[in-house]
Amino acid sequence: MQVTLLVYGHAREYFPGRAERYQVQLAGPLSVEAILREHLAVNPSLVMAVMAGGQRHSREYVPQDGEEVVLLSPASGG
Amino acid sequence: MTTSMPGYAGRLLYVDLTSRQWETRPLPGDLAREYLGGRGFVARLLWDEVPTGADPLGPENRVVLATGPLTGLFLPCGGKLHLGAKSPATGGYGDANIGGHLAPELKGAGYDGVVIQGRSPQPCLLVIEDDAVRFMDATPWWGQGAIESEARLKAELGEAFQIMTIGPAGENLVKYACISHDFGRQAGRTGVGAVFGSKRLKAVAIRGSKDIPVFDARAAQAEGRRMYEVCFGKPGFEEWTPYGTAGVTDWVNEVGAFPTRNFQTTYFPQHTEINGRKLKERILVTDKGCFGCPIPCGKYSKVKVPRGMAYVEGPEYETIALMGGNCAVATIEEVGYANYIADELGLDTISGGNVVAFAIECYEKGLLTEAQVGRKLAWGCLDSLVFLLEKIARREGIGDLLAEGVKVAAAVIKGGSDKFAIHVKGLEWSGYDARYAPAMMLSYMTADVGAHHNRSWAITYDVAMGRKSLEGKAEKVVELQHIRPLFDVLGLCRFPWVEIGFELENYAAIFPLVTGWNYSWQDLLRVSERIWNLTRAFSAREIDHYGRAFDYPPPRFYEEPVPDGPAQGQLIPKPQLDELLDRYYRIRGWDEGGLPTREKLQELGLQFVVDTLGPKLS
Ligand code: SF4
Repeated sequence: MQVTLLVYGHAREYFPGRAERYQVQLAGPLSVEAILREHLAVNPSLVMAVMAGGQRHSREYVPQDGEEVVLLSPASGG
Repeated sequence: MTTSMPGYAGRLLYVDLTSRQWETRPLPGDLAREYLGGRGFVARLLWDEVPTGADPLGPENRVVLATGPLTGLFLPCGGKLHLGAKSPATGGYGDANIGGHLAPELKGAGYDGVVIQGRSPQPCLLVIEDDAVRFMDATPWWGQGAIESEARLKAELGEAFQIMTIGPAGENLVKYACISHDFGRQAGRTGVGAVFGSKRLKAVAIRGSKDIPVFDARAAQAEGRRMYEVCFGKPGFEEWTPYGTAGVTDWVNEVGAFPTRNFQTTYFPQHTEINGRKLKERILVTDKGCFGCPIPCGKYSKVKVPRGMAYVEGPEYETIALMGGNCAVATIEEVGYANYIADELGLDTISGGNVVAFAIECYEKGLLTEAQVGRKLAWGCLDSLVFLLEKIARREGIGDLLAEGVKVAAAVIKGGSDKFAIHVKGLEWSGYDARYAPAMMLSYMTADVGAHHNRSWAITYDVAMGRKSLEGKAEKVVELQHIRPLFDVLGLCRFPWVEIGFELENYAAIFPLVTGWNYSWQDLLRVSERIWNLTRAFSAREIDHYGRAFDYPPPRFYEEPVPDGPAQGQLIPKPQLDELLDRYYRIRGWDEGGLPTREKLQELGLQFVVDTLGPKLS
């Protein structure tokens, strides 16, 4: 299966190649947390939240085959 | 328009509130070229205009308001106004910025900046309407809330005016009083509201109708359009807005950095009750943004608690951290209500939340008694929080001491309370406990205004590169301290860059089209470095023995390990803080005592600083 991760915000600085879009081939369903750790070698804590299907989720979210999910960087705020 | 400098209105307005005189002066070309605008103008004009040794709350102190060369144009988020003064909170360089619509209005009135001095004989309102400047009696509004005053002034002057006000805290010279605008946006930090109050300046109302000259208007407009399109095209661009900055609350808890019970610990178990989701589900009325903003982070909310009902802009993350977790207040409605009270009183919620938490811890430890305070104090008690905020703003009872901030309060209360008076340089700490984040710790230690996060927000660097490692941390802090304040120079909000990954090159691309000046991004960073050294020098000029000793966090952060949560057991021992400072000073070209060397100052074109500081420099 294949999922697409779109990286949003300053945390992109710490992703391999600083890309905005990563297409990841998976042997089976995997949480975003695990995809980050095992396929991109990125510390999952650099992602504040996951957006999928118009909803905000934790990194435990498991994308479906072909799904695009958005990774939000921590807001530096206030 | 009387300007030969595209990107600029071409004039500065000088106002003397004592004599009620004003004059305009042409914007000096070298000021524009060497300092660019915003924070740069504030830093240089304070250096030139404030007499050495001036009382921050005396008539001789200046308030400088400044726009930037990218203010008010067709590009994302060009609505920031920068304000500064010699800070009553720290005695050194102080500034703050504010969004909304003030800056475009000021530039549209034909001014790049305003320098205000003196003290009005009675409460007054400064009205700037294009070329006309007038003073109005503000006695009817003196004592009224900051937001209430803005509403009434709008009704009196007209909706088209953009207005900034202070509340009772500013009038009563509370050292961390803020300035309010747009019904809930604040120039919060360093006590600029108290400087307004010391001048008996209740409000400034601005209306402008002039065009802003641009070097290549057609190309700049096309570039501005492209910048909006880049913003809109960012993945998940529309996803950041729903929670605004409140969306980071859970994450800060996850990484063990959330201020909790006066920074006693760094994880607040009830954080999911005061996070962005709860804000959106329970109290949000609508989103609210600044001039030209495609990603409005402002949240306009309606809160109902047993004490009453209120509309409030917020709470944004810093208020959630300092009035929520740090005071252990555990519902979003209660945090929102405290936010509303602080906003009307004109108190910075960051310092306000720190001071209340400090008082509660003093009470808990028996250093303050019920008789001294006037009631019992407790963690998680909205009534305790509101009671103290009101006492502070009116300087009543214990509020008179707490109005001085935690540094002064600890010196009076004694009993070891200085160990948990959470500040740097006299400015209370904002929303990230940094005992498990060395780059973030160094950011707070070395921020020019005191313990504020917006100069260098380096905690993700710590998370990415290792929470214990010191490697590369000083380098990153210096890099961020040049990039982030540059937005304050140009007159921009930095959120498109930080939050949606808008590339910095976009700003370098539009700058020459607006000004006609071929500055590269590196040239812009060089200006930012010049300003950084100047603000350090300003504080060194104003404060005896200023330098390294002013760059340490409170002992809690190097003596008390975090007791629980994800950062359990963590602290940064003092020798490591010294290692960080040594590296930081070396990278900056400063001496071991934390002052810029002559050589560094000369290299940056700051010979006048060398001439003034002379023997203090190595
Ligand atoms: S992101 Fe927020 S602070 Fe920045 S311009 Fe937009 S509304 Fe204002």
